[in-house]
Amino acid sequence: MPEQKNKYFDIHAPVFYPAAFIILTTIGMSFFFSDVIIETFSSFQKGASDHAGWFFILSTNIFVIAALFFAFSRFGNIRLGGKDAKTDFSTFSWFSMLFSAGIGIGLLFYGVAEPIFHFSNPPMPVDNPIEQAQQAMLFTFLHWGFHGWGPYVIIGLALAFFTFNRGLPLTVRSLFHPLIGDKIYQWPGNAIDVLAVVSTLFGLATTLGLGVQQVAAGLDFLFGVPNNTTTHIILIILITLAATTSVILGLDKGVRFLSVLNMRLALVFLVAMLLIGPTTNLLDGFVQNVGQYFDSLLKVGTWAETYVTPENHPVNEGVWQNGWTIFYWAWWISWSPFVGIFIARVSKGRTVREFILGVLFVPSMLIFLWMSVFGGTALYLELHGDHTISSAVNQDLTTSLFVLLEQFPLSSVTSLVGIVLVTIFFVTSSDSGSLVVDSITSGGKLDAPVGQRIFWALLEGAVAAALLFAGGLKALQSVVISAGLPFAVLLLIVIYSLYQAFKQESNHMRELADRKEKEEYARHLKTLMETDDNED
Amino acid sequence: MKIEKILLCLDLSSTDELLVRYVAGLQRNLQQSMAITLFHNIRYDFLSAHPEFDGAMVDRLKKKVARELRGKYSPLLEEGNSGALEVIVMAESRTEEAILAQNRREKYDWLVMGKKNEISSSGILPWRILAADESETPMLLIPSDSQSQAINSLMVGLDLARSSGSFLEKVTLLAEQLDARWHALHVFQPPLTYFPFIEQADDAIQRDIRKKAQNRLDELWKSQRNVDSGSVELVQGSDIGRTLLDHAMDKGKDLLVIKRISRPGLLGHRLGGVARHILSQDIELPLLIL
Repeated sequence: MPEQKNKYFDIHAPVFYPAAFIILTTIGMSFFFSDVIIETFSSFQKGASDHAGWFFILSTNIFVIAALFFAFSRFGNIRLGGKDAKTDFSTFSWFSMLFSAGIGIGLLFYGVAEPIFHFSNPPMPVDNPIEQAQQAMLFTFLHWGFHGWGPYVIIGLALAFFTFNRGLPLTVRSLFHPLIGDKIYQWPGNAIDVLAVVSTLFGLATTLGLGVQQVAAGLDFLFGVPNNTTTHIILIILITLAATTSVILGLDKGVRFLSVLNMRLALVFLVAMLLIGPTTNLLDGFVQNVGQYFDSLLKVGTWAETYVTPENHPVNEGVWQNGWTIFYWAWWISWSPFVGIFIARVSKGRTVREFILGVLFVPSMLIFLWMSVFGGTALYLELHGDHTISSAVNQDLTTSLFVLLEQFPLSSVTSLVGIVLVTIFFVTSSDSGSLVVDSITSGGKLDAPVGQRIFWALLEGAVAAALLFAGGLKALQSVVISAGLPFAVLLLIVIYSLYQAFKQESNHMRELADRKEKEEYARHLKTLMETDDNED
Repeated sequence: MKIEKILLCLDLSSTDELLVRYVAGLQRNLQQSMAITLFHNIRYDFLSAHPEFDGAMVDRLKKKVARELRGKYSPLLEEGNSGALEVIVMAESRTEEAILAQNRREKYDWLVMGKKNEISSSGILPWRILAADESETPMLLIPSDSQSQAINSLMVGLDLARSSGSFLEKVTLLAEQLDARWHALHVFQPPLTYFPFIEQADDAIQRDIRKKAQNRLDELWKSQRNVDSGSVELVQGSDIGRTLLDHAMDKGKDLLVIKRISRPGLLGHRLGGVARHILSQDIELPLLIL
C-alpha cells in the first residue's frame, strides 16, 4: 500500500487525500448550494422511506435474528483475537465505551421528549390515556432497543473478527474480504474506505453542529446565555479541544477515562432522577415496560403501518412511521460503520457470545431504564394533569429535559449536571469518531500518530463550525441519513460473509484439536519405540 | 446384572488412567472378581503417516504398547482382583470394527471408554460403536474431566416405552450389586415446546399428560421386585437430555444411566435421540448406556 509516514502522520494516501478532498469540496458546495443538496437528498430520503420502509423494517429484524443466531450457535465460543486472546479493558470500561460511542446526545433529549411525542400523537389508534402511555413507551423502546443496536453488532463483530482473527486492517474494506478477496487492497477497497471516512466525519460534524445548538438552547433556558452563533462556535471550540485532548491521550487514558466518567455521571444522574421523581411509579414502569417490550417485540418490530390511512387514524395520517421508525433505522444503520469500528477496536479478547450479548443487551437494558425514568417521569406528570412537559416538547425539544428537571427540587444542580453530561457525551462521540477516522486513513492501523489524531479531531470541529456559520448542517444530515439504505444492503451481505467466516473458523478450531490429539499420540508412540526392548 | 467381563478401550491419552482407576473403583464397589481386557488399536492415521512402520515394526510396536499398558495399569487393576487381566493391542484400519469384532468374539458384559468433549477425531468412536453394536452391550463412558470414582448414587433417565420395565429391572439389579441408591427421572415435554399457538388448551393438555405419565410410572414401579433403594420422579422439561444432566449434577449423582433407544427406529437406528443428544454434550458425569 502506498504509505506516507513520518513522526506526526502515518497516511494511507489513496484514502487520506480523496477523503480530505471530498470533505472540503462538499463543505464548499454546501455553502453555496445548500438548498439544492437538501432538496436532492431529502427527496431521496423521502423516496427511500416511502418505498423501502418495509426493507428497513425487515433488515433490522434480520440483524437481530442473525446476532442471536451467532451468539447461541457453536460460533458463540469463538474468541475475538484467537483462543488465548486477553481483553484490553475491564468489563465496566468496555460497557462504558460501547455505551458512550453508540449513544450520543439523543438519549438526554429524546429520553424525555420521545415518549411525550408518542403520547401526544399515538402511532396506532388507541382508546384511552393508559394505552397511549403504554404505546408511547413501547415505541420509544423499539427505537432505542435491540433493533437499533443490531447493525452495530453486525458491523462491529465482523470488523473485530476480520481484524483480530484474520489479520485484516481495521477498516470498512475488510468487511468485503470474503467477497472480493485481496482486491480490498486495491481501488475498490480504497473507495469503500473513502466513503466510510466521509460519512463518519460528516455524521460527527453534523451531530456536533446540531447538538451544540441544543446545548446552547439549554444554556439559554437555564442561565440566559444568548443562543447565537458566537455561543455555538465557542461551544464547538471547547468540545473540540476536549476531544482533541482525549485523542492525544489515546484510547486508554483519554477515551476510556472519559467514557467511564461519562457512564458514572450518567448513572448518578439516573439514580438522582429516580429518587427525586415518583420512584415507585418509575420502578413499576421499568418492569412493565420491559415486559411489554419483550411481549410485543415481534409485533411492533414488524409493524409497517400497512392499514393506517389519514381517514382511519387522523393523528397519524399514515406517514408517522417514515418520520420516526424508518428515520431511526436509517440513522442507526448509517452510523454503524463508525460505531462498529470503534466497538471492534475495544472488544479484543471477548468471545462472540460475550460481544453480542454485551452490545445488544446491556446498552439496551440501560437505555430502557433511562427511558423509563426520564420518559416515565414526564408521562407521570402528563397523566396527572400537568402538561408543562408536553407544551415544552411541542415548543422546543431541546429544553424538554430542563423543563422536566425544573419540576423537582434542586433543579439548578441537576440541570448543571445535565449540561455537563451532554457535553461529555459530545466529547466521547467526537473522540471515538476521530480515532475511527484515524484508523481508516492510516490503512487500518490501531494506533495512528498523535499529529494525525489532532488533525482529524480539529477538522471535525472545523467542519461543524464552518457549516454552522454558513448553513448547510441540515443538508449534510440528509446526506448521512440517505446512506442508510445502501448500508442496510451492505449489512445483509456482511451477515453472509460473517456466517461463512465463522463456519471456517469453527471447522478450523476442530481441525486444530484433531491435529493436537494426533501429534500427542505420534509423539507417545515414537518415544515408546525409542526405548530398549529389554528395558520393558 | 452380569458384570464379570469388561473390555476397557484405551487410546494412550491422559484419560486412560482415569478410566483404569474408575474400573478399579467399580471392582471394589462390586466386591467381585472381574476379567478385564485392556484394549488398544494403533491409530490408522499414525501408521499411514509413517510408512517406515512395516509388518515387523508394527508387531514390535504392538508388543511395546502392550508391555507399557500392563506395566502401568496392572498394579491398579490386580489389587484385590483375582480375575484375569489381558492386554490386547491391534493395528486394524478401523478402530470401531476392531472393538466390535473383539466384543463379538469374547462377548463382554460392559464396554468402557473415555468420552471426549468434542464429537470429532476419536470423540466420534463411542457413537460409531453404539450405532453398529448388534449385541447392544452396555457401554460405560467416562468423561475426561470426570471427578467421581465411587458409585454410590445413580440418576436414571426413564421413558414410558414398553422396554422400560426390563430397563428398570436392570437398573435395580445394578444398584443392588453396587449397593447404591438410584433415582429415576421421567422428563415430559410440555406441548408448548412445539405448538405455541395452543396456549389456551395448554393447561388441560399438560394436566392430562402429567396424569397419564404418573399412571404409567406407578405401573412400572409396582412391576418391580426390589425398589427399596430407589425413587421415581416426574418432571417437565423442554430438553430431555439437558434436564436429566442438570438434575443429575444438581443432586450430586455419580453416574447417569440411560437406555440406548426407546423403540427400534424405522430405519434400524440403534441409538435414540436422547442418548445422541447427551453424547453430544460436554459432560462431567460418567454415563452408562444400557
